[in-house]
Amino acid sequence: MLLSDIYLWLAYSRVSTQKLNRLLAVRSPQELWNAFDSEHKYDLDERTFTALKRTHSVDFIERCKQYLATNNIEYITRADPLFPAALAQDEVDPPVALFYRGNLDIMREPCLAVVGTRKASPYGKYAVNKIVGELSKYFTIVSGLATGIDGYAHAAALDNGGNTVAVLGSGLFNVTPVSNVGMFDEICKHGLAVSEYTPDTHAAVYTFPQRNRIISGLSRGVLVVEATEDSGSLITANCALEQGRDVFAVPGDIDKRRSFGTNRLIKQGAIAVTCAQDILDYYGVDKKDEGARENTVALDFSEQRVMDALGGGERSFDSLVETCGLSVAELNTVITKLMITGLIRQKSKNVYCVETA
Amino acid sequence: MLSRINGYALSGLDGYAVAVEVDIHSGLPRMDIVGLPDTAIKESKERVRAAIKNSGYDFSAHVVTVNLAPAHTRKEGSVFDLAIALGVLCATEQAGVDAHNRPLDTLKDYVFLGELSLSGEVRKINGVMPILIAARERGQKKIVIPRANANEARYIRGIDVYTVGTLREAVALINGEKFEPVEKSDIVLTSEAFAAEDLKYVKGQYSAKRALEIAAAGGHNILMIGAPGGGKTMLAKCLPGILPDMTENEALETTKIHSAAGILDPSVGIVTARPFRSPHHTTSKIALTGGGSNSHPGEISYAHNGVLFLDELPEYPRSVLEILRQPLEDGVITVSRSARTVEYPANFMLVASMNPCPCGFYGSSAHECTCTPSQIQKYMSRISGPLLDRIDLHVEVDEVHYEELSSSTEAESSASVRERVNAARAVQTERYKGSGVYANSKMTAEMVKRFCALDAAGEKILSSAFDKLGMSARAYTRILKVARTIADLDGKECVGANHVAEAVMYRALDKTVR
Repeated sequence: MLLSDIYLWLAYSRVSTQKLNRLLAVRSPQELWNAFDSEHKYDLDERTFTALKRTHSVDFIERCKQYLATNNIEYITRADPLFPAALAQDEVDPPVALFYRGNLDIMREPCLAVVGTRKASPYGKYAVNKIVGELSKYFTIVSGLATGIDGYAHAAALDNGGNTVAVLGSGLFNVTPVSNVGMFDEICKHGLAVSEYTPDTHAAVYTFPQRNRIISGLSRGVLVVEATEDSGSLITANCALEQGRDVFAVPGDIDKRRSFGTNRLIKQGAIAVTCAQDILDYYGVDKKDEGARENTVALDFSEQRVMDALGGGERSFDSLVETCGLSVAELNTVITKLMITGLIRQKSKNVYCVETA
Repeated sequence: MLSRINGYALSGLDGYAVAVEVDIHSGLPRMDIVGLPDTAIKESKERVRAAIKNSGYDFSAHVVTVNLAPAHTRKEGSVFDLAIALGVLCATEQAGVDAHNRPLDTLKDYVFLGELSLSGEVRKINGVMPILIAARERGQKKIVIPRANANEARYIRGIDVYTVGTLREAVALINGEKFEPVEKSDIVLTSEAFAAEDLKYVKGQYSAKRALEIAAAGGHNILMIGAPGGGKTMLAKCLPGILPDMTENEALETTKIHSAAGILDPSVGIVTARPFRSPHHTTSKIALTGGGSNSHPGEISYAHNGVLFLDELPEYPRSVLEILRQPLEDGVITVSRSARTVEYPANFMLVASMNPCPCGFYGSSAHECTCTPSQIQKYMSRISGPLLDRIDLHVEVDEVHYEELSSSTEAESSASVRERVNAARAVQTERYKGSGVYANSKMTAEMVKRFCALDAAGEKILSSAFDKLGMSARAYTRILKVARTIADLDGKECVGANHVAEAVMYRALDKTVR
């Protein structure tokens, strides 16, 4: 019996990884397999025993392998020398096997996890686009394919031609949420989608926190963008700490619930991140030279006036009308032009601010 | 004895002649009305009987048969009361006969319309204006209508309209007494607007006010998105005050519909201010489009040449909103029922308002939104893409940050905005003369190509807006049309880069829905 087949047996038994790892700590996989040959129950509890017994068949394993092959799903087990070393650490509670679609190689490049609330605000979206867009040139972006920050992070990496890994909280056939199926397909094509669960597994309440340890385990650090105080992203941050990974957080308004979690992380010692450079500096990554950005846009009189007015911070459209002395029509024109040149951006409804480089 | 009186009936907005034939012979007293009458007409025998008796005429026991020809079309309403009563009187030789009891020829020249009260009074009816127009087109020269409808007749030239107040007067008229026809007058289009609110009381909201001005000038559909309490409804209420004056044609078209629907003010007799209709979101499909067993016009037709305001757009059932798509495109609604197919004009400007999410605060700077992403998506998806495509201007209306507003000067009043709107609309009327198009929003593809040609700078702005701001390509024509209106407001012959840049500002949903 091949070692990898034994691991596949363990994965298909659907016994929790934690329990499996406890078993594997006392005896080798081979021993376990052989023990079942002789109907030896050891000290296993009833449920674990039946689960393992049920799937304990060479035939069954062969059929599983065939099923995976016909459905274009590849798998890698701990027996494989290519199994990511970062995941194999004990702190991570390593999965016995990973099922995946896509390019496994990108997992071995330096990875950075980006997580956050599913209820992202426009601010969170902006932060992801700005920071992750830049980081994806240097890191493989790992996230959880959820809505909100996760989705934005994957999209930002894909848009910038970077690598991205989606760690699912369900089997690969049951992408959750369904609204991200399109993105899942995209990631399978241009990145990597992995799951520790067998492809037909449905998502459950406990599967998402479990996969969070893989997100942080794969990565050198975890960037939390927006998180409420009870957010699942904080689980990921905790996992990261237990696994000895770095935790980064994007600070937010002190009066917004969506920033409570990240601000608390910072108070507890997470590294505050306001731009991609912060992380690059932390890891000592040299910035790739992209050639000088053409930053010299000739502004006309009224554009300069709006830029001056915005110099002191964000302004609403109404107050711009009153301070700049421009007609509404002129101001509309100026704002469009400045947004196109990328000098300002819309912060929220009718509120504009200067785009920081 | 047999008598024959001319009547007229409405089918949609078109009238057709109905001959009211009354036959009287002896037998057990009975009155029958044939010719597919509806309940209102069937009941008219009671009104006719009482009115004749109470006007001092004799209605003694006979068999009375009334036929409404053509007998195969369904007739409705109470407009035939007067004709039936006169028919009975003529058949019994109490009216319309000379001294030798010979029928008078003059009777044939008249058409009689009117509802009777039991006392013999002639009461107001609906649809006088469209009937007058149809009758004139069919060569009818003289028509008798209730006195209460006299005002509607003032503006229809080429037909002599007589008014009667009682059944006795009508008898006097056919007996040859001299009546003066209604005096004709020109349509006086008041340039006064009746708005519930004035823009000068709206503090801040410059962007939204400008969007309303553009919408009014070009007849563009507009959607206001924003948190509750932002003033969307108040802004919409200001709109009637800045809509451009109606042209004579527009006034007549709208009056026809209002007259047929019975919502015309009888003391004025014509609609001179653009209608502003705001049906509640519990409104039914039929109430909005028109229809029902008798194919009456709906709210969108009442709003013809005016504004249809739908507050809290996502609260309307999706099926109700989707039926707006075709009228928004074509400016007419075809109501088909088994009995008949009627086309009503419905060339309205759609003004809608909505919250960005169920709690209303998504994207707001002042409050935090408590909705889940799927809730927001569900809320937004109640409005279909095809419907959004037909809305030219999207404007975000957020709460006003009063602390940021320093100027104490009163904002511009509706009246002065209206002047600019009128000037811009005049330019458009001149440009589209003879093409059946009144405003920029209704430009055909060919017109867009001709009148919205961009110079190089404009093209550049537009293409970089698509590039950098993530606009969808669907917005292209919409932006061009709006840019055309902005250029008209600016008094410019050509659409320039500045106009395009401003138009781009009003595509909020294209930018956020990415």
